[in-house]
Amino acid sequence: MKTMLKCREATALVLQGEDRRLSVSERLALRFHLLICRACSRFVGQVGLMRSAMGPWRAYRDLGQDE
Amino acid sequence: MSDFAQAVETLRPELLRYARGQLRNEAWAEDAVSDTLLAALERPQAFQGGSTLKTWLVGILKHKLIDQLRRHAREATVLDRDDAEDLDAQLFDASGHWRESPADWGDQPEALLGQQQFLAVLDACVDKLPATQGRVFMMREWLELDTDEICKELAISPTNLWVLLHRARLRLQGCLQTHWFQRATSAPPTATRP
Repeated sequence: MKTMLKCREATALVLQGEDRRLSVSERLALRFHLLICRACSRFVGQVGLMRSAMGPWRAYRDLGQDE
Repeated sequence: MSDFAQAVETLRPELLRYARGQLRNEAWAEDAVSDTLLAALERPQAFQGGSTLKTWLVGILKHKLIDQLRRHAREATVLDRDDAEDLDAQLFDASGHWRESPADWGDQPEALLGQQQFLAVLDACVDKLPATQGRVFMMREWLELDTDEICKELAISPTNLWVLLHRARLRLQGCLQTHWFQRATSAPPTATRP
């Protein structure tokens, strides 16, 4: 894994991190990128918010909203 | 028809909506719901009344949805190829930088996640996902299956699954930005959120 990621690659790693454990080198590369990139840091915040939203969303969907 | 049978039948349209959301196929959704109603009517004594009838039925339905996915595994997983490049090109320029920097979604998730309107927008965004992405997203986040199980049920590789989930999550992010957060920031400063 190269050290300098582009935003496109960093974004892909952030999203894959939701579904698999990233390797040490991937995490390191991502950490470096996030230190210098505000845009991707915000994206990390958005992904975190979507993650927190899944529980309330399941409850919303399961316990039924009248349409 | 017994009261129980009638109560079960009343919930059919709602169960169908769930099944459609998961399977993205009308015939499979009908089958899953029919299986669910049959199972419920055959063993009404299994309903203990500890949960609502609907919660009980949704519990059965989730198993029937997995049965359907298993049965139709091959047909269910057409990788929508054309989607990937499009999405990337929309978001990133040729050198791999964001065309438009992601917005700050704020630091008060609790307040946001308590809002029914926000959850309704999120729910609508999930329903709008392309078929295969929608299916795997629902398996992962609604049926709460782990990635190994999903790969096994759909007979796809982990890499394919990650690609599908990646696109699904990116689409959700874009949909929420457009249909919720953009409205929030473009509203006049004095306006209050609905």
